[in-house]
Amino acid sequence: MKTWKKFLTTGVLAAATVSMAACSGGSGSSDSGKETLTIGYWKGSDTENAALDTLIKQFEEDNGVKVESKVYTDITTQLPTDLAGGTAPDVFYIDSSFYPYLQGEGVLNDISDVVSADDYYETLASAFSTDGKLYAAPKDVSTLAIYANTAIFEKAGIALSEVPTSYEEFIKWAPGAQEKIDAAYGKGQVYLMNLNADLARNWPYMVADDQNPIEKDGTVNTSNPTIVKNLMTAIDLFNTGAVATPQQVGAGDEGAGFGTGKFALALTGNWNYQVFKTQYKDLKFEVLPNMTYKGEKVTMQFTVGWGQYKNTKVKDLADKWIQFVGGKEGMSSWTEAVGTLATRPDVAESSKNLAENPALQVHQDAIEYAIAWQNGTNLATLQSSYGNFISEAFKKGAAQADLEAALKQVDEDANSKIKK
Amino acid sequence: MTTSKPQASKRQMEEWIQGYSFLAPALLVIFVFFILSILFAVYLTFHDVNLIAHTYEWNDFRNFSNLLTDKQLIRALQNTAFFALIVVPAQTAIALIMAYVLANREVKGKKFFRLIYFLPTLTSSAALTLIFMFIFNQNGPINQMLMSLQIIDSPINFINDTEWTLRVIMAMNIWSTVPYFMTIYLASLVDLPHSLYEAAEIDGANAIDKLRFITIPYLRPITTYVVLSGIIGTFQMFDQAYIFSGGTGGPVNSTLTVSLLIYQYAFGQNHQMGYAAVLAILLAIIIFIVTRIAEKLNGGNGIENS
Repeated sequence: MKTWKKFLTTGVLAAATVSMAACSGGSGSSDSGKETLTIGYWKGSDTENAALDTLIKQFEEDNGVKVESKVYTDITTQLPTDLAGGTAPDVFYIDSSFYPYLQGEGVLNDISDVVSADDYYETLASAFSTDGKLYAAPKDVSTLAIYANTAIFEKAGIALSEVPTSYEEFIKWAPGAQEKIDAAYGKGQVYLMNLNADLARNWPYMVADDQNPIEKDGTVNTSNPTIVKNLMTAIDLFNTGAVATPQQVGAGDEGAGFGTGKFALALTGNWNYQVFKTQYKDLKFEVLPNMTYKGEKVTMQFTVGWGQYKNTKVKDLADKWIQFVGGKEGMSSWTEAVGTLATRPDVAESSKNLAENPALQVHQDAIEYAIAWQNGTNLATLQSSYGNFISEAFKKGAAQADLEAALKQVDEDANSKIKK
Repeated sequence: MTTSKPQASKRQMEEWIQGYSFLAPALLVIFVFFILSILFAVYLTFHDVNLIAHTYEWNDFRNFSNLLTDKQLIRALQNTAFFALIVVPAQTAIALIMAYVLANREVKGKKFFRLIYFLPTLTSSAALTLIFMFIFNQNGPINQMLMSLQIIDSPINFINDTEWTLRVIMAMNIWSTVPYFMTIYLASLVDLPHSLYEAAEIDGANAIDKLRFITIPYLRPITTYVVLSGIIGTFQMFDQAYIFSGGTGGPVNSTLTVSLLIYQYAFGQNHQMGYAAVLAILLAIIIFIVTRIAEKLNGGNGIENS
């Protein structure tokens, strides 16, 4: 009785220790002989996933290596965890708003000699550069432009050429146009245009006149008088009665609102172009450039780049990957399949997608003057506080005092979080 | 049989060694993943932490002094306390009454009802949140029903309103946790001897009296468990607030819970993991105090007092 118990005890202990050691070491061995490059990205639509698979296969063939994918569902929380643990992928997606944080942490390699910043549009290359050095290669970009529902304009008896070219004129023109729309559809059924209560969309108003809502030391100051006056433009838009947020018309976002005919005009991005063409087949629309504000052409652009991990063990492969996806061939393959805009002027010129869909040229041209969506490491906190408090001010009948009160709350909330 | 220490017999020593050897793997896992992690979290509370650069700077208790001046923390505590105060009694009472009804001998189709009523617990809370966001949408079924009954004139924006959003989350939470607690109550009610009810009926008790004087006192230990689980669960509520408000904490901080606040600090871009650790420990202490109070109020250890 006693001996078998001793054997059993030692046997169980040995098995447990061996299995725990094996668990950790098991994943180390993969294809021996072939070098492996790990890429990190988040999954998009099915077309995006298929396009990325094509790129991966092409790269594997051309270079005789293996590419491992690491898929992120929430990159802003998972990538810092991987960076802290030393298991980050060799190359990964970097959103322009996340770039300042990663660059500040010192986890990106300078790739100025891997790809040339001059190959890309200037606004995009500077979004991923610090002190003249490039740290990520922009892979594609989306810009905002105005989509006009030609059927609604016809029914209401408004000519498309009547749409003003500046927001200041639009505020004067909107009530009249909304009356015509109400006459054709009934009151409250269709709105002239959307305005989202989102910091990314209100950003052009906040940075007009060289203002910066986030100061050099990182404190948030959205309630300074100039910004309040400029953001009043958004309130004035609401007060015309012709503008509503997508949530106010019961749509999740402006794309859904425009597709279901709730908005005659919608300021939205080229990611909705394919959606409108395929999902809303009866929708007839045209694309116009965004209206000017304070005499300047302005719109927002949202771009993602490929960056390189500082402690990558396969720097040559990582360089080759960035040259591939940031180069003419890789970017053509990606943008043609997915329908986003190219970040290289040479790819844009020879783009089949643009040739077949001239409406997208408006989006492409906007890259020259669009504002990149980034502002240091406190932008996310500001965006969160802004979304928290601003809907109180974005109601019809709001006055400057309401906006100022809301912005003061935004400042207080954001600064209290930043200063901890 | 001697009890003097030097004579712990060889057999006893062997048994001890065997016992601890079998426990050793599990103890090791618990030590590394629970004890060490908690100790590390306590260590973090005293430092400015940069996890990527692995730097930990002693910061003279700044994290603790920040606790005293944090307005969002007070709002988060208010929201969480309000949430727990409404949800825990509601889910306990509803679960108890439903269990009482379902345990009744005369109810037909009990198995069918038990199955249906248990289904909400099986759905994941993220999927549940999305479904409820659809139901309470401005153009969704609830608003349409209220308008057709002419209780309201124009649709209420349940999802993004400072008054209503937290209450919608409460309703959703109660709906999804009641079945689980009801099942626990049912399991205990099965043992209740029916002769007690019959004796009460002879004395002229009606259904409510039977509930008050027989069922509830009998279920007191289970109620302690249900209330304690409820408190721990509601104080830690995070995912529903996150999905409803998109991570911001809702219109004007109305859906900001302590867990959501901890998440914002821990995964922010400002190296505030140390402050998040302080908040997490504060939450643990608060839950501990509240559950002790609740347990005492409910008569302490059920076995000793019944």
